[in-house]
Amino acid sequence: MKIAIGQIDTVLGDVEKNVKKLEHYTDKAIEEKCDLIVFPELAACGYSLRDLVYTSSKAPDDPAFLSLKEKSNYIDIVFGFAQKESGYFFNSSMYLSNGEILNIHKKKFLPDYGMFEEQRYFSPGQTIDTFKTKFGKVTTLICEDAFHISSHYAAFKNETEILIILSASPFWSDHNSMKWELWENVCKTSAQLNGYFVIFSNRVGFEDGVGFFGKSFIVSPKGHIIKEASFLKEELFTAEIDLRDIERARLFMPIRKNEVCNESVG
Amino acid sequence: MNLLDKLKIDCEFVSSYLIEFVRQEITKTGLTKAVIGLSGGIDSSVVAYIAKEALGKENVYGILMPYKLSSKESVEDALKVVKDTGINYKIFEITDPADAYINKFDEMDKVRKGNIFARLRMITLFDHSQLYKALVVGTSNKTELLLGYGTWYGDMASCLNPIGDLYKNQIYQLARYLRVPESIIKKKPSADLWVGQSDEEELGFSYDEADVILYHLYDLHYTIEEVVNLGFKRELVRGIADRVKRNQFKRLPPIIAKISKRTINIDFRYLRDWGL
Repeated sequence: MKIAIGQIDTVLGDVEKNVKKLEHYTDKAIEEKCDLIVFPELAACGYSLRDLVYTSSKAPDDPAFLSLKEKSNYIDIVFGFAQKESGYFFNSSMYLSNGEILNIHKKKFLPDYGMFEEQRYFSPGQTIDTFKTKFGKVTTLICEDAFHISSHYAAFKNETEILIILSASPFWSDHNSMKWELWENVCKTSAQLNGYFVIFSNRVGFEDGVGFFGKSFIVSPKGHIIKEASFLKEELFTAEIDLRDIERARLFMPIRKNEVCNESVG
Repeated sequence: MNLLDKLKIDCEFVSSYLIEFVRQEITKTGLTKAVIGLSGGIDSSVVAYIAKEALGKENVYGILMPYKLSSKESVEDALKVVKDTGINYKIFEITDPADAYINKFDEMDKVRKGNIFARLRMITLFDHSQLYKALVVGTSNKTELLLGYGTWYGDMASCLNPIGDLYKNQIYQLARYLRVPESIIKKKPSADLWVGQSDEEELGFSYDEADVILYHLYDLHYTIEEVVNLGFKRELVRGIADRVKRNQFKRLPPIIAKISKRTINIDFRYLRDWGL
């Protein structure tokens, strides 16, 4: 299976321009014979929307996404967008396949500390769902979702095979840490303990001085980073994975086999 | 562990990050050029090196703005940066406009004069930004922004600032990494607003002390007592914390009286990069 990550910058609040870019990279990924392309969190509208949430949010069946839907006949597409529903707003991801919406995930854990204001504008999703795709069982998380153990537990419980994380993660560093180490640690551990692939798709670009660092990557079910995209640069990043590695990892460490999961969590 | 070690930065990542910041935040506005006030000091020198990498030397304008009493060394050091980076430059003396204003008064203390110099330089930079269709890149570091050691709408004014989240000590680390001329790294920091001015003498503490105290108080959330226990005098820590509080106004745009249901910056909330 060939995976593409569209590690892109966005135009803040301009859905039309951003969706054009998603279409452009999707076409490139189709040309490169990829099976799945994953874009970052809020890729259709930009991250720090503040009051732009009101004008940048769309219903999933909005005509703005029609062309992407059409393209999903040739490649599965996952992207982040601001979702409008009954007058409320959600930080969501859409999984498109065979010309249809296969899944919508609404971000469950909205950060509201430090520089983050998501909970001020968005309503939280209620669940972490796992759904069947042509490649196996997929769970999508959006950024902060992945910092909650319960999300990984839900993916584990549901026997996820590919964990997809859409992110708009800002750069920070200090003398003993770089922001991406946090992501690498979380994703490698989750992959290793749960025996699945993790696809981490992060944004690049700056919004009023806040820089999204990129460095998107894919982790194997044994917990190794297969390939990592570059720091700060917009690019279409592709990698081949062998889905049989999931079974091989689970033969090596059959952790799920011996656990009766708590159905009330996740 | 030496307390200053906590301020260590990875210069390779930080410099490439700042280069991208300058390039992207300028080009997304449709412009391609930068204007920088070059003082010959370490802050504006570091910014010049970053801007040159971000935009190319032909797109960066260093403006030297000495007053008749400015030290000769300042101009010489600024010219070293110009020569080394190959950026465009212009020497624009502010003596005539400054004196024309100052002479309207029978007397004027040095703080007022210093503010006038800083604001005349701001006028010069913003005027040249219009002339060259460029943005003014700021040169205030985190230490002076927190201490409020700068002139509001003077040297603190800019369109974008790559070094506002770096303490003075971190500016030195970056300067060495970027190979800023040694004479600039070695000399005592000075705003050069009057003859023989020294930042550290005027402030009453060293930049290293200020950096360590500020870093622990604000980046690491230490209490004043906890910082005192690191080995600093209580009056010094309190004095610095007090300066930060007193100068909050300099770090924000003017406050607006709320009348309507949607007031600018209170509940009319958009980033500057709106649509960019």
